Amino acid sequence: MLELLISGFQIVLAPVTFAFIVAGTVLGVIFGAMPGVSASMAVALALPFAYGMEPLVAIAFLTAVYCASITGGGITAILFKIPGTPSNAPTTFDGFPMAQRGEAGRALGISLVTSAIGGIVAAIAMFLLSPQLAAAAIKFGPAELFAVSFLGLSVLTALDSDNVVKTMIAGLIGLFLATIGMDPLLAMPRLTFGSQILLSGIEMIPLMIGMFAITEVLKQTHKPSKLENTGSGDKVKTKLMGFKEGWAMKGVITRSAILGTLVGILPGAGATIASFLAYTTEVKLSKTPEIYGTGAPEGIAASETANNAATGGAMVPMLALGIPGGNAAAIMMSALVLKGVQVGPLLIKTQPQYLSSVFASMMVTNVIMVIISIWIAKVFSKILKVPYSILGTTIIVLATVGSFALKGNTNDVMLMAIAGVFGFILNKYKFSSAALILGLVLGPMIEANLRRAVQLENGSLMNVISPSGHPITTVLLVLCGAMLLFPIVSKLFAKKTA
Amino acid sequence: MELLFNIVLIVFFAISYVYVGATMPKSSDLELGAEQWPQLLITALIILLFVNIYNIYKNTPAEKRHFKSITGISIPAITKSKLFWGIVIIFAYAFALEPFGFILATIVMFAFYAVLTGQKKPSVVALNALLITIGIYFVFQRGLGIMLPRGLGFLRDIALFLESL
Repeated sequence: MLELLISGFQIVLAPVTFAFIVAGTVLGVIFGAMPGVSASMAVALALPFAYGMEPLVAIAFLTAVYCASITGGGITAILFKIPGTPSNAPTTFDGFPMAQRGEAGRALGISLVTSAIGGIVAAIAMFLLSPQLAAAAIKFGPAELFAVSFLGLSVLTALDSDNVVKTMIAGLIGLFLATIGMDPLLAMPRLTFGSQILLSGIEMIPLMIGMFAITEVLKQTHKPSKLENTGSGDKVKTKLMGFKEGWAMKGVITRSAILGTLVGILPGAGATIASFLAYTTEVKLSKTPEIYGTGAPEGIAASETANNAATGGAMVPMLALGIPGGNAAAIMMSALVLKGVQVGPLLIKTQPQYLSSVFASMMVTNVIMVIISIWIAKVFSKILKVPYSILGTTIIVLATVGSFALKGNTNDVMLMAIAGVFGFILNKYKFSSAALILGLVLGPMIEANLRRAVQLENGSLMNVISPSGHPITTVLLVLCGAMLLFPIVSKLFAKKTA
Repeated sequence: MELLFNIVLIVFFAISYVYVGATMPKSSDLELGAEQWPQLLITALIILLFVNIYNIYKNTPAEKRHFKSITGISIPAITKSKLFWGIVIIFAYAFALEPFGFILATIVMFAFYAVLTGQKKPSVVALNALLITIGIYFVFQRGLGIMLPRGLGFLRDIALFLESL
């Protein structure tokens, strides 16, 4: 374990890697702080920079962008009441009122330090949990792996209980898109409609870039959001949270860090749900709930600790099982696959340096991002003066470069454009883009394992799911069923009791 | 419009169901075949899309349940929206990259999109379009070794000249 830790820090502290981590942190904080650029979009836009890097450097760089973007999003949430990323939305509830009463520097300090604490706690949890989970998963056969990947999808419906049908449709569309291309077992073209371009399947990276970056630009083009300025953004002096203040909020920070990590581990859940859940939990547990929403430091601490903790949590299923814990993790996973890295339970066993370098990168990022964020908060009024007409258009250019550079052809740029428009429509009608992405990423794994499992059982699907042959599969599928049915049953129950 | 979107999806998936069945070899009884998995997904999708259509119908007030919501789509209104032109610019850009090369296509796209999203000063548009395009070109082409589209004809010569600098 100690050797692994040392090797991770050796990789991360090598001059080139460290320079990329610092660059990734700066990029992440700036991207995250810009309204309309989510954490997933920040990772997607940073992807083309990672194409030329070694896989280990690339994952360390992207991890830095991911962690830093969540933290950066807190800056605009506090100063302008505009969450830089959706996961910073609860930070506005108390951060903005604090800024309005002239405590912007203190609010920023609390946000930065608690973000770092959340990120570090989650990184430690990731480092300790991932090998255990991977070790268990190595013993799994195709039937169990099918059930594990299917569980990832069903979690989504439980999380978006208002749109269960739409979330399921989006997830199924993702699974369907994953079937396009060469059949994995027969090596025959499937659903290509005679197109040569579709033979290699739907490229995940341009699709993700389109759905995150282009969709967001189109949304802003359609209905631009306005900034509400406190007037304090021009000359902010961040005042870091002291030990005494931190100790007074130890309960809030600890609970939010644990909750954030656990929510992050759930596939599809991620930082947004973590921060809202932590915030509402603290309101419920507080003896003085009325102070929340009026500028309570505890509100900022809960939201920012949890959303950063979720970043570490999201890495656990990605590194241990090859199942992304969220959109950003899905993009990172695609980048690793692109580099020829076999992501899955064997990764930690055969190449443990991936776990240790992600861990070391998260630790380093969470420390240096505090320093970088203080500096960025100082000059932020200048950065934010960049009008969306320039920022949005630059995002289109970066997204295009990211899609083109993948294979050096413009078909991927076209795919990105189509995905952007499709993402906009999905978003408009409240279908979950996250479910579609998760379906697309998990699709090949679900199909290949299910078909292998059926083949091993001589064509009997019943044997694959029978408790006598595959008890773990049965348990996991029952859990999937419960997750799928829970929102429907709970709604019916609520109607009856009403 | 949402109803129309669901109907379009149902039609597309129905065609895909038939297509995959017709183009893939029939699988044996001992396996889950290459056509069966997509067909399974499509079946579930079509059922859920019908459920969604029912939900839309149920949640629409009685006085608004008429076919005008589908047939009454105003094309002139759509073509006047910024969103429509934004989509047109992005697609035109994607098409223009290959023949016109990254630099020219990006400068032109930048100018159009910046104006569309509210930038009124021509000098700001021109300066940003030029600086950002050249900046990104050099960062990726020279700094990261990522080849960007060069364009055709004399545009290719210019790109090659820039690369040789």
